Amino acid sequence: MRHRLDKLTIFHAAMAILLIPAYWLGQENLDFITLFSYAVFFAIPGVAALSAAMSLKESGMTWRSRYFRIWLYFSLGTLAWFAAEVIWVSYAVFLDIEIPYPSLADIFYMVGNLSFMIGLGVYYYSFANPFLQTKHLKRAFPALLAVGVILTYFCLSLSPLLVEESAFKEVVDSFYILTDSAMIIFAILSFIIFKGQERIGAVYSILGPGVILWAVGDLLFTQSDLLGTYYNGALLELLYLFGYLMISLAFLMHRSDF
Amino acid sequence: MPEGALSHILAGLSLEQIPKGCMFLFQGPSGSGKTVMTDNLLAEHLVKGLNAVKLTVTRSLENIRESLRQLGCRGSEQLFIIDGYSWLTGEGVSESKYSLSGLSNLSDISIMVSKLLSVVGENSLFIFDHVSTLLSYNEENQVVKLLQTLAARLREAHDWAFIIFESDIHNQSFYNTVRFLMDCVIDFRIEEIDGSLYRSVRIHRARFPYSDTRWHPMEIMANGKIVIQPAIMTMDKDMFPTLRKRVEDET
Repeated sequence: MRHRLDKLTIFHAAMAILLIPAYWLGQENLDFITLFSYAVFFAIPGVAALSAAMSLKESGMTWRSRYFRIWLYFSLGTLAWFAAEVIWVSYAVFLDIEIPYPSLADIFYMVGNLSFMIGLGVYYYSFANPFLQTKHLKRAFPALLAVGVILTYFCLSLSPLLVEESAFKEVVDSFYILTDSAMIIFAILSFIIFKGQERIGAVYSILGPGVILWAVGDLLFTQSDLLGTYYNGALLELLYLFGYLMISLAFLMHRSDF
Repeated sequence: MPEGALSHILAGLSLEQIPKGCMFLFQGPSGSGKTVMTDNLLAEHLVKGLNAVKLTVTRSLENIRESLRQLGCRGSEQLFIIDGYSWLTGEGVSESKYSLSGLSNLSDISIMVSKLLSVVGENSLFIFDHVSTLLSYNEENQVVKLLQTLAARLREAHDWAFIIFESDIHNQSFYNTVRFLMDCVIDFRIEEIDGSLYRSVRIHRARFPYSDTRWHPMEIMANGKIVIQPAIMTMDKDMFPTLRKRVEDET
């Protein structure tokens, strides 16, 4: 199992490393990077959904079990994200709508965000919170304070742009900002509490940063969409992709270690 | 003769007749038969084709399997062992997929137990042998939190649990807190009378009505099988040899 996991780690790392030059160089050829973006956003979220589903399969399949419910939330979340990415690409390829936001894809993005956030929250309250100590809060405080300040500044800077949007888009944007912020907070708290625990500590050293990258990418997407600077193949997509890859790897590590 | 190792002190009931999600605490000094009792319960449970999870920090996997074999339980596919013992011996590599690399990893333990309880499903048995060792590596309040978490999972999973800990080596507040979490506390006793050791067992307190708080003499046979005798009112040193003879004759 460990040998197979080493190979999977190399695969995920190689994918992440290859994405950097592809995106970097692709900025000079927008046709290429647009197509490349469609392809990777079809494949990589699928890998994350598959990793979650593999863990779900080994989690007992009984609703009574909290462990099963956690993996159900994670699986639903990643599957919904995958479906959303496929719908996004389909809009662009088949309907020629370059940036379908908000659209049908957002229903799936929102289900994904909500489900994944609940998964992280239940995981935190089940396995991290019982072992929360004052020392953890002291360690978490600077990080949480920084997140709070950055998010407040982010929201304040976006609020003039948000009010110009339709009420529907305002609600959708606010939903993303709230769920992304919750995911970042759960990831930081869990990471700090689990640090030092051999197995779950290793898993969260990948999952925590992965979730943070994904959520930061999502927040930056909201910002660049409001500013009108987003395009398919933008560099900020790397944050999403690294996030998906790290989440996928962490899920495989969790499956292997527990 | 009631069925099941514990049934004498549980008003003749077998484990399946006890409400699901019940947590039992076995407390007593070293050598009083707590671990042997859990082996008996485990063997009875596995023989019925039911699943079990055992978290061990005091015995090797081989030792557990050998005890179960002696008790007539051959197959061990329904038994999942979380091995917290191998790393103590410095072996590093354990046969069990669920091996711990340190007893201070309480979150790891909590997640492993939760996953296995989820995998084994309802009507399974969980045995934790034993809590006292964890206290050498963790603060008391952290161990209490682990037990609280495990208690919640076990009740959620509708499984029965047996938690073992040594008496007279921890703080009274720790005992009180742990006992509060349990549905049934069972005392084990070992006494030397005229150069021989005699064991007895009783229910200290229980949240269900059908319990017997009198002391019951307990014998461990050569194959590890436990026989509990009907209750006695007082411990009389002349009574034990007679009881031992009677047990030997019966078995």
